[in-house]
Amino acid sequence: MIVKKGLIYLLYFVIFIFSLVIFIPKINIYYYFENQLTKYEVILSNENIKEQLTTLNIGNIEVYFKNSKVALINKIEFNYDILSPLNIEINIVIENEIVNGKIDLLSKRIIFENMIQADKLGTILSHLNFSYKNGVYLYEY
Amino acid sequence: MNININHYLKLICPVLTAIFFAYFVSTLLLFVLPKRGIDYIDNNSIEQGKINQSSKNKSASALMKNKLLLKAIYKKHNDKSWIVVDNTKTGKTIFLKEGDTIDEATLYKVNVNSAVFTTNEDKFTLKLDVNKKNIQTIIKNGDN
Repeated sequence: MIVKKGLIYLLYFVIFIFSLVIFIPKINIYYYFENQLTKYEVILSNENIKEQLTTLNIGNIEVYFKNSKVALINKIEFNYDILSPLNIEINIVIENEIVNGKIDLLSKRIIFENMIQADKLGTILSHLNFSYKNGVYLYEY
Repeated sequence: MNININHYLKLICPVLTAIFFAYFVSTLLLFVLPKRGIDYIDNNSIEQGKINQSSKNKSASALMKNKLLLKAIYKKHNDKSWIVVDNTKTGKTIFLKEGDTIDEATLYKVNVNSAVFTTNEDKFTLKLDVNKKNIQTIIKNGDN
């Protein structure tokens, strides 16, 4: 009986999380992060933002650092999977290279794996105080 | 039948509550989070914009200056002075006192032989249209 009640409450919680993912203003959250990046003198400009049910696609992002254009990111995709509710996937396409990362909501970390330190995205991440170790860029917030 | 409806309502109500609560939280977030993103604007384009605006104002002033002809000034010490201008485009004569506006230009100040107008961000001066006949010609031929 207790297990059944527990399962029902878990179901309600999952429904709440799923509804939250659908209703949450994803574009405004992106604007918030964009505002936060200005503290590091990084500006993301002229991007095309497309909001879908559980994903946020941002295309053609011009990245400016200290008033000079440093990169053009073709696409960033934030993807939330209900099966791994504590992670938000990030897929970045920069100059035809695909970089995969994730935001770990539980340990409050942003992780990019299989990275080369000297490439363009690596340079930007270094400016954003990401630490680099064994091909992994890590930021704890 | 009635028992069945109650049973389903008991199941559905918490689900609806969860959905509405999620919607409520999202709405609150919408109020708190920024509504606009940030775009990079080059300093040069801002300067260019200022130059364009300035030249636009200047051209407006130049147009007004060409259109109006200052015919007379009535300057008083204790009262607002006033002027008579001819609109060369329409052929109309207009009386203006300090502070009056004609088209986009406001009469800002009246001097002894000139009047200063202001537009949005620019100034222009109209000088009195004096009779430019040579004094020698007047002596020789009279005032006519």
